[in-house]
Amino acid sequence: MTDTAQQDVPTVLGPDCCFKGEITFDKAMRVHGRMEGKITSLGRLHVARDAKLQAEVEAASIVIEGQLRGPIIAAERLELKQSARYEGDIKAHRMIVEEGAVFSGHVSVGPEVVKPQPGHAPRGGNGPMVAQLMPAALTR
Amino acid sequence: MLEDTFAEGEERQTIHCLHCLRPQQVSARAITLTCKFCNKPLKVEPLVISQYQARRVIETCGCLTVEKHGNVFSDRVLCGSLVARGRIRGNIISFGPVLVGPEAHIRGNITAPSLAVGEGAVLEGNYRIGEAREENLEC
Repeated sequence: MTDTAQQDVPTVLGPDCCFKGEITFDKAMRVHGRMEGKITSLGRLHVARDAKLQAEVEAASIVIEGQLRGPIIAAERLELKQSARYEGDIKAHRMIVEEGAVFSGHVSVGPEVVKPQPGHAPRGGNGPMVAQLMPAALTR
Repeated sequence: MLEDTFAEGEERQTIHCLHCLRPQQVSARAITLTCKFCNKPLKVEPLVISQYQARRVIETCGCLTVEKHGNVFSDRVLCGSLVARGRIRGNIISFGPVLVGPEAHIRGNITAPSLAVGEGAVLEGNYRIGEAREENLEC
């Protein structure tokens, strides 16, 4: 990995890492290893080709090249690359699927899909984090 | 062999039977034919829908195109490939790529080998992309 790539992605879960639990990050994270639990972010998540995740994911932008199982909420963009293997439910503002990607699950895509629900107060802790902190332009 | 029945230099295309799922080569000019394996009738011609259509079943081995002002209500859509620019409500099984334009609205389940979604499209349903289709044929 080049230095510039490392600077772009400040958090990296290495290929020999096996993580169980909850991760929150601000800017970007790349996962190469195994992970089980929950990922919450306002930034970018990159699931690398060699990664295997079983997790609930909420992030602004998600790129999947590896294997992921679990529900996804992408406030801005979800990208399934050619080598992606995904199983779970998708809620995304925009979705891009490359030829060769394999996925199954319930899909909700559109500008109206990912927005804060009236019942979930932005200040409280119950609503999805992405929905709470999403840019106002996305919620219109 | 069926291949022997083609005239020399005639253009061919490979289609999958919508019923037995087996691939077969047919003339590129074919409009309708009978599956050589299961003997069921098949439509091969491309289908373009540019207005409101409510049909129980839409079946074609060719490309189904739903234009911008097309509005399709169907229990079951079986097609060789799909280009969606308008609205579709129904379960879709495509044997080729599904291309969803930026202004498309699709409500229903999709089973297809590949999917491309334009920015701004609205999708809702259960999707199986890039997997075997046999088990999903019963809509």
